[in-house]
Amino acid sequence: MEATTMPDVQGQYVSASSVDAQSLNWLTIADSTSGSYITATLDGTWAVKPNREIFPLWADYETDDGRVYEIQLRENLEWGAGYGQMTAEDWVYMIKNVFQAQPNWSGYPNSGDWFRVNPESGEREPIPVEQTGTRTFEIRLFEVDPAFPFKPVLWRQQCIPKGILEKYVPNKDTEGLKQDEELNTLAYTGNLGPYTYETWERSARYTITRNEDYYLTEVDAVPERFRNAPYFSQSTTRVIKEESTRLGALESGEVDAAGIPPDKATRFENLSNVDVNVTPQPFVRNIVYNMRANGWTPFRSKTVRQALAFAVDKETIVENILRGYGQVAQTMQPRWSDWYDDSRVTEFGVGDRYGPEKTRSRLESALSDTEYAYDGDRLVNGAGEQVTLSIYYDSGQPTEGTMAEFIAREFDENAGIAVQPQAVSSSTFQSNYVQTSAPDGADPEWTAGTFNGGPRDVATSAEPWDMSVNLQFNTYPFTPASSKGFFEQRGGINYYGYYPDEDIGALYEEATATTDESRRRELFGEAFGLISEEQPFSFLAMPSSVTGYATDVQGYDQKFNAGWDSQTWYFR
Amino acid sequence: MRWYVVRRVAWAVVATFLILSITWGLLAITPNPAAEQMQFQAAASGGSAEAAEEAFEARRGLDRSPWDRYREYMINMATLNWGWSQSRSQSVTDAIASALPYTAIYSIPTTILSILLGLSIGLYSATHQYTKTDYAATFFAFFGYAIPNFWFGIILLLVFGVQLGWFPVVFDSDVPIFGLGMVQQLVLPVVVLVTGTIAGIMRYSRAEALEYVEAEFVKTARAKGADGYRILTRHILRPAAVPLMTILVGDILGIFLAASYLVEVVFGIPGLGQLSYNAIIAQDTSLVLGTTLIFTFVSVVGNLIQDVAYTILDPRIDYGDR
Amino acid sequence: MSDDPLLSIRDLRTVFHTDEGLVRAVDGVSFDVGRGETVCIVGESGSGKTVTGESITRLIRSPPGEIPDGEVVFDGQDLTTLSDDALRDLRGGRIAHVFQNPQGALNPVYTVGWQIVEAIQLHDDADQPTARRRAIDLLDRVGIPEATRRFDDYPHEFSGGMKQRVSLAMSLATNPDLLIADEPTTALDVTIQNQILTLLDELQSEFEMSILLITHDLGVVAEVADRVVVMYAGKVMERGDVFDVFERPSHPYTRALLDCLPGRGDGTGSIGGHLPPPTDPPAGCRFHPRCPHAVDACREGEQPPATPVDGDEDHVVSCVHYEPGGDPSVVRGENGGTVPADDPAADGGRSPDVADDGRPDR
Repeated sequence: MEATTMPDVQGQYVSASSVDAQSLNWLTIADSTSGSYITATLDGTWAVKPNREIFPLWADYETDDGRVYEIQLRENLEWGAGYGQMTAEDWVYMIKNVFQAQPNWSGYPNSGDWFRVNPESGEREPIPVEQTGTRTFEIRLFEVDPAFPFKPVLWRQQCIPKGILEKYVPNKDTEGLKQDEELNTLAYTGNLGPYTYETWERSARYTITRNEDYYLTEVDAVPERFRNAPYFSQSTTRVIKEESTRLGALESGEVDAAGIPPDKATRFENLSNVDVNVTPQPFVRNIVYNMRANGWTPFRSKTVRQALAFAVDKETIVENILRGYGQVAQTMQPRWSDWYDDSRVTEFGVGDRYGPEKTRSRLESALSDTEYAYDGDRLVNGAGEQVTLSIYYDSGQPTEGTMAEFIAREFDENAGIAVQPQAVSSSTFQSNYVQTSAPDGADPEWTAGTFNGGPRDVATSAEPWDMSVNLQFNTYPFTPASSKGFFEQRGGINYYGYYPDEDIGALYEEATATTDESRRRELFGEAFGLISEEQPFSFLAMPSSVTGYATDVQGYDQKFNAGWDSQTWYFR
Repeated sequence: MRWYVVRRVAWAVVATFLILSITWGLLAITPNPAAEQMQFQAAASGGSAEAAEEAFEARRGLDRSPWDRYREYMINMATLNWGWSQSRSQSVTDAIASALPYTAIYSIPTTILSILLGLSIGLYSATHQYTKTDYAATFFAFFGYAIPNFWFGIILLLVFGVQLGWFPVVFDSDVPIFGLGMVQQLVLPVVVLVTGTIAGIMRYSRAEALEYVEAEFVKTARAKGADGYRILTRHILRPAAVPLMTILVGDILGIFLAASYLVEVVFGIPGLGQLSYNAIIAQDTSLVLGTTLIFTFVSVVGNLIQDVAYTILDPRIDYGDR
Repeated sequence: MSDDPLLSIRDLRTVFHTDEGLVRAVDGVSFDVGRGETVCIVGESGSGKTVTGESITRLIRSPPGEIPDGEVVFDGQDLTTLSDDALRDLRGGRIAHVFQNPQGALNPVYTVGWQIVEAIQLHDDADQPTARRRAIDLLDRVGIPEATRRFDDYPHEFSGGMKQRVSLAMSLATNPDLLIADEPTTALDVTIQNQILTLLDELQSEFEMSILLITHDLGVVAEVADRVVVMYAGKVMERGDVFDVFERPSHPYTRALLDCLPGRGDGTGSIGGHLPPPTDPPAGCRFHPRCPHAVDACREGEQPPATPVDGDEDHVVSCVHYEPGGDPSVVRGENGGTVPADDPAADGGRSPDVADDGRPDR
């Protein structure tokens, strides 16, 4: 939105967070709260707008072939604490000596992003990076990847002055790097972000003040509203762990922004001093079917999975369980994404693609050459006992519990299958149900890591399970290729033992290698269409994010990634 | 007596060392869910789970052998260099020093009020046994004891903070310590805590005082013409103080550390309770050891002071030969 | 010596409200204590003698205790109507108490010196050094050796007999007019008993005070009493000059008590039966269930009023056989119940030729 008159710089913006950051030293952290604290003081390379356009912040990029990328830094970027101007030298030094260090002595969480498989050697190697000018450097990928700038490896990537890093690189001093005072107090941020660090009282509040020298205000090519950004004199994040206290603070006006769980949203919609903003999110909720040996083998049949998809009413899930704050999901992409092709997506669980007779008739024919059959309303096995399946959900998430109960009821009514919901803690679920491996002594043909320990008849998880709603998966609407591992027999994340009928992985690879935008859309559209047809999981819904803002806060949007220009928000 | 104290102190050191070692051991063998989450996230975005795991271990210093890590921690503890807190990215001493005042500001008033109120109500109950006031006091004390702290805190917050607006909903650490604003913020947390702890002190002091209320020397004092107040303070309280010391000295020493995690979470107070709890959840070994050391130290010293206090208060007790 | 008694108790009633009912511990007790004389209240445990002593200065706990009726006149003042403050003034001042159990009577956490000083300073404006000197003096007077050093000792550093001496010293701190001693020697062994009794005797003449001594031991009575009051089940059965009561015991209960003494009676040493329940006393004379001389008149109505024996106003008894129309010989037998004068056990070894002017001459 463009303002015709500039907003005034005023006020203290207070937002509430349920958890505190772990560290301001972004080389050592991997949690989103720390990330948000830091990003307010360091812009990073570029932002991605909701319409998937790159908005350059510190830098812009150029590429001819989608394989070699030249990164160009702006000329007015100054470090703080006397480290001078930001140059390509800082970047290249950092990438080569810290990100790509072998072994990863600094413990940088995303170092894996800077290695790719070199097709010539077949090995994982560091991506070649070279300085080509004072403010330019080149990244030379081994293979074409048009989505590269949209990936977290470069999107909003930050940097550290060489002057700081060179104190620790020669000796590979992990502790020194971790405890460096300038890194921990963001002393080096200069004019590189809309705010500068003020104080951090652990577990209480994090305060940043407006940066008068913000570099972006001097850049000509930005929209008017950035001209005098930011418009808050001060911004504070308050850590409030207890949900009722947090919401109470929003209601009483002590904070200007807080996340609202869907079941409380109606109350806030009715308050006069709070505006409720609903934004879409990239995470999808599914029923994951365990097709490994310790699951239910009929899940391995596509027709069985398709039949079961008729059993669960997705609209009820969105309307009743998510209170309307969400959308029905049919595949591994949200409906509003560029890669979602309506014409190719097969729908289940809505309208006339839902119902008890339709489920039962399809299920019966899908299981016709197995021991399973219908005895009246119930699906029974060869011994005449009703089929009973387990469904797991996270014990710390009551919404998941409700969902699991609903699914159990739907399966019972529509498919004649008895389902027992089981709560499990997230850490137990990770270690005992997600990690799969072959038993001791057995030597699997192949293995794809700790989650996909081998062929589905050999490698299984420690505990048996049939279905789960525990984990939400990121659909990566900006970089859809990232979800490839879910849909390949040997995908690193394929812990549920899915062997696709069609070669979906090939479609992904082809799409990744194409620089032609429309061809890519076609290919991904086809891939997600196939995924919706094969139903590796039962896609249920994509919950939206509900945030409450004080009514005088303006400038935010309702689209995905609404915070991309948060430095332009203001008080009315 | 001097030898007794020296021996006790020496034993305290040994006990502390044992506790710290056991704590370290438990942390070391507990699998860390954060590691698994990192790996899952990496695999889910098409990256390498192994790289994520390697990075995690490098960050946590877990790539060294257990014996090396153990030795380093123990030496650090002994030399008072308590190391770096991974989950707070600050030194452990900084973390504890910044959290301690926030615990002290509510634990000091709570302890003082609980002891004063608990003692006086208990003594009053003992000398006015079975009167209506006695019953009312007992009811009030057990009501406070039975009500779960966190629930009571939330209710009070909703009623007095959100609905009535008398008190701020969120604890503001910026407010100066000795001011009306701070008092206003602390009313609700202190009320919640005092109602919870007062029952114990009240009933205990009532029971102890009762024993002495019926004592013969109290009758002697009355026969001498002493008034009720003098009898209460000099003849009942003073001898009763000896058994009462078992809880009081501990309480008083814990005056800085009567940390309540539940209250800190509900009211958003960044004190020692949530510091130590979060440290355990995050498996931040150095911070866990640091906070354990403090609590252990306080209870050990507390026990010692308590025993010494006995000898001062009760002339019949003497540790000379032990 | 003035004629009016120091302490005059008329119809004193003290009750206790308990879960089992109303306990009439003291049910209409009357007697006098003259100036400078020693009066003993004697009776079994449960007879109400201790409660009587504690009721004088209202030491009993109320609730559950209560003094509904009666007159306690001390030197012209009725104590039953006195305010709490005035009563506290009296307690430990002009009326002092010594209790039975020396082990418990002293507060273990204060030195004996401190406790005596407290007794002094509660009634006197003496400053610390003066009070200290008086306390040491008192300790010395009650026979504690090395009084100055012992001033700073704690009660647990004294033996039982010494502790009782300390209690005595405490009670004498203010030069009281009346000392109420409740079984002061019962908890001590016999040799110490005699020492304490002798001490009491000396102190009485030195401090010119009256003593009301409560005991169940007739031997003690015989040693120190000028007059004796015999109580049973909350009521006075007989009272009078100690010689009169010992030589001419009139009430069957008194006679039975004396018979229990070794060397007298048939040597059985006990009275058959037991005390009536305190919440439900029998009608008529309280003693009638155990009395060998009980008649119909004894079983109904109230306890018989105090009737003079042989015309002596001083020696009264509560028994129907002594009322007009009754026959005392039923109780006393043919010889008037007089105990042979040459029986040494009868009167505790004292010569009957003592001057009977109410003041012991020793």
